[in-house]
Amino acid sequence: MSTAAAPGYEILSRADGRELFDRKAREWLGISGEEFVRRYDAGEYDGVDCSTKPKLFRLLMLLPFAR
Amino acid sequence: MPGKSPADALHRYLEVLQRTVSCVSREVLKATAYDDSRPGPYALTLGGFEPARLRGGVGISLLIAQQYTFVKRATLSRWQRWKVETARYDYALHDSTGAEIIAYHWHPGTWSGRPHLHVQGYGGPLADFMRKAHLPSGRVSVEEIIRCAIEEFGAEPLRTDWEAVLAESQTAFEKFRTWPISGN
Repeated sequence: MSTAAAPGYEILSRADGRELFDRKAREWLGISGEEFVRRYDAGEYDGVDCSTKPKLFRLLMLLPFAR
Repeated sequence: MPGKSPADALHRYLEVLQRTVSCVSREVLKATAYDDSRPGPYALTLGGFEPARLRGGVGISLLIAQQYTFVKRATLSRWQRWKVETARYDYALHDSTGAEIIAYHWHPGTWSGRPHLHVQGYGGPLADFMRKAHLPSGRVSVEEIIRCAIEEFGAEPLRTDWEAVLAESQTAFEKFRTWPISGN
């Protein structure tokens, strides 16, 4: 234990953010990040309840990584 | 943390938040970059979208995800003109199997838009209600969920000065937040 400086944070490029998002969308929902964004923009995830679909909710929270 | 530009405000904000997280984890915050060609919201997460395992105690993990926007405050000095403002959050603790124990959410504009708490693991006759219940809460800070992880679940602090770090960043959070208790 120490008082050492905290590790640095990362500000991701758009490409790196999309790659991270794509990986999780494939792992959790079996679709690409691009397909997730398409479905979101089409309103398919409107009204999703955060208590019943936690991984879908987490992807919605982190959607800006895919933009 | 205000800054002279959106990028400056973001760096200041992430610096304080990363220092806060370093009380219990060496995981790195990952955030989307400011880009004036997109209005936001932007997002950040601890690690790679997965809860970060904390040392000690009962083996809990910490999830931090936020959406944020940049707000320009023309009335302040140019060194404080821009501020990062939380737009939504998901702070959760998971057990050693990866199952969620508690989650604090705020996601205005969607179903159940007020700040609320989810509690998992209740096994009684109302289990189905409890699993889905959105229990009202005030606005919760990252500092408070980390303090809860240490004090209630025995997570091992990774810094000797963790109490001072959490107190300092909590003070900054309370100074600059725009809504303290509840929101829509």
